[in-house]
Amino acid sequence: MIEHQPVTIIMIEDDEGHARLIDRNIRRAGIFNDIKHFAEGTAALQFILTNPEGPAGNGPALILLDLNLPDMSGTDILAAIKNEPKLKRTPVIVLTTTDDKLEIERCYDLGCNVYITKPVNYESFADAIRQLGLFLSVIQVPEGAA
Amino acid sequence: MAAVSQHVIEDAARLSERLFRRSILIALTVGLGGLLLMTAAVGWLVARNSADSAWVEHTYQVVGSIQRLETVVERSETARRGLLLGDDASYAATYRESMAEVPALLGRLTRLTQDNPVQQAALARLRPILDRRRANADATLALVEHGDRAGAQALFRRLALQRLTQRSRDVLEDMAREERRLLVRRRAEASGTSRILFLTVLAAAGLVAGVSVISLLLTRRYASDLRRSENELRRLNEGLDAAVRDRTADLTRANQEIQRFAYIVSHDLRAPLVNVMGFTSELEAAMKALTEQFADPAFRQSGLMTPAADVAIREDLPEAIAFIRSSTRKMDGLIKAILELSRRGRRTLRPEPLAMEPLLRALADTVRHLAQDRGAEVVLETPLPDIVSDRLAIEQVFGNLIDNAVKYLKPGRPGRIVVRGAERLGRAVFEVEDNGRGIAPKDHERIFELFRRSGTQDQPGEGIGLAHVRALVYRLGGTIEVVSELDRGALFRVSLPLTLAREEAAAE
Repeated sequence: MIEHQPVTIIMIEDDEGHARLIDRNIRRAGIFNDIKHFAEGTAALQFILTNPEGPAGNGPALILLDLNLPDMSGTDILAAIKNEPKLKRTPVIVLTTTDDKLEIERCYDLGCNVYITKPVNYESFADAIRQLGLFLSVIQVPEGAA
Repeated sequence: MAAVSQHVIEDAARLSERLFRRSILIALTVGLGGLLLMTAAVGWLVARNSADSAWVEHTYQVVGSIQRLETVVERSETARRGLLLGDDASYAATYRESMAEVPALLGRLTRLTQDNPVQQAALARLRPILDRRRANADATLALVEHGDRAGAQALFRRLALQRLTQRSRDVLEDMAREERRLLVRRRAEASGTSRILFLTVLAAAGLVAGVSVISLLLTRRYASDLRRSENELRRLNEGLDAAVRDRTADLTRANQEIQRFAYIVSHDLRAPLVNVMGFTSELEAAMKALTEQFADPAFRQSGLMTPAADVAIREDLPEAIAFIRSSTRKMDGLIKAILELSRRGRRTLRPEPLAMEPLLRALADTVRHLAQDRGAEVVLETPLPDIVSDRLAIEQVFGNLIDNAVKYLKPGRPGRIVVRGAERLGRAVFEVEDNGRGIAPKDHERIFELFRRSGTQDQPGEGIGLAHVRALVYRLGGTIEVVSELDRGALFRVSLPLTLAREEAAAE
C-alpha cells in the first residue's frame, strides 16, 4: 500500500531573512513541497507533536531546524522530536550558524540526520541548500515509508 | 590613628621583648660565670680540705710519737728500777730495747715538728734531759752489772734520776698538750673548710639549678615562639593557598564568562551577516537581470533609459555591492577570529613533559623556507630548559612569535632571529629576539590587543596572533613582555612555570 502523500517541510527558523533565503534556494533547487514556517520553537513543537496534519498524524515531513531560537534551544526541540516514538524516524536537518565541533557532535548524538552550517559566503550557502534540495527529492521517493 | 597605636603597641612589645632577652642573657652569663668561679673554688677547697686532713693526720702522728716516747721512757724507768731491786736479765733487755728506741723517736719527732717552733724548743729542752738521764741510768746499770748493787742504789739516789724522768714527763706532757691544741685548731679548720666546701657545692648546685631553670624557660619560650611563628606561617600559607584558589576560581570563572560571551556574540553577529550576504547575492542576481535588459540594444535605443539609470546600473550598483561584499567578508573574518579564540580558550590544557629544544627546532624549521626567501636565519641557542606544559599551546605561542619575527623584518637588513631560554628563579624564561623593524614603545600594549596592529600595514593578518599568544601564556600561568624600539628589532620574553598544574576539565 503506497500512499502518495507529499512531504511537508517544517522550517523552524526565527530569522526572517534566513527563512526567506532558505525558501528561495529550496525553490531554486526545484523543490516545490509545502513549507511550513515557524519562528518559535514552542509553536513548532506543538504543531509537530499534536497537530493531526503534522508528522504526529503520520503526515510525512522533514524538519529544518535552526539551533538558535529565542524561546528555546534547538537541541531541546531535537531531543523532544527524537524522544517521540512516532517521530523518531522523521528526518531532521539542523541548519545553523554554528560550526562548533562539540555542538555538531551533540546534534548527531541526539539523532539529527544532517547538519548544515549556514555559511556567510552566499554561494556555498546556496549550494548547501541546493544539495539539501537534492536530499529532499531523494527522500520524497519512498513516500509513506517513514 | 588605630594604625599608629597598633604601631606603638608593637614597638612596646618589641622593646619589652628585647629587654627580656637582654636580662635573660645577662642572668645566664652571670650564672655561668658564677658557676665557673664556684667550680674553681670547689677545686681549691677540696685541695685545701685534703691538706687540712693531712695536717690532722700529721698531728696524730706527732701525738702518737710523743705517746710512744712517754711509754718508752716509762718502760725504761720501770726496767731500771726492777734491775736495781733484783737481778733479772729480762729487765736489762727491756731497758736496752727501750733506750735504743729513744733516739729514733726523738729524730722522728724533730722531723715531724719542724714547722712548729714551740715543739722544737720543747724538744731542745727534752734532748739534754734524756741524754743526762741515759748517762746516769747507764752508769747505775754498769754498777749493777759489775755486781755492785748497793753502789748502784746509792748512785741512783744521788743522781735524783726520778727528777730527770719527771722533767722529761713534764716536757712530753707539754708537747702533748701543744699537739692537742693544734689538733683542736686543725680539726676546726678542717671542719670549717668542709663546711665552706659543702656550702659552696650547695650554692653551685643552686646556681646550676637556677641556670638550668633559666635555660629551660628560655628554651621553652623560644620553642613556643617558634611554634607560634610556625603556626602563624602555616596559617598564612593556608590563607595564601585559599586566596590563590579563590583568585584562580574567580579568574577561571571570568575567563569562562568571556569565552561564553565571545561565543554568543560571534554567533549572534553571524546571523545577520548571513542575511546581508545572502540578500546581497539576491541583489546581484536581480542586478544581473536588469543589466541584461539594459544591455539589450533594442532597449537602449528605445529612449526609455535615462543616463542616471545607466550610470546606476553600470557603476553605482556594482560598486556598492563590491563594498558590501568586502566589508562583510572582513566582518566574517573578525567573527571567525573571535570564535576561534573563544574555541581555543575553551580547550582543556593537558600538561606533559616537553623537550623544548626539539619542539622549538621543529617550529623554526617550519618557517625556515620562508625565512630563507626573505634572507633571514633562525638561530636556536642551546641549552633550553625543559618544561611540563600543554604542547599545542606552547607550539602556538612560539610558532606565532617566530612567525611574527620572520614576518616583520627590516627591509635591507639581513634578518637574524634568535630563540633562547634559561631557568630563572624556578621559572622557565624564553626569548625570541629579532633585528627587524621593531615596535614603537607606545604600541607595546596595543600589539597584544585583539584586532590591533602596529606599524606599516604591509603584511597580511587580522591582528589576533599576539592577542591569542598573550591569552594562551596567561592560561599557561605565564607572562609575556616585549622589549623593542622602532627599527631596532624586538625581543619577546615569555616566562612560564616549569610545571603547569593539571586543570580540571573546564570544557562543556
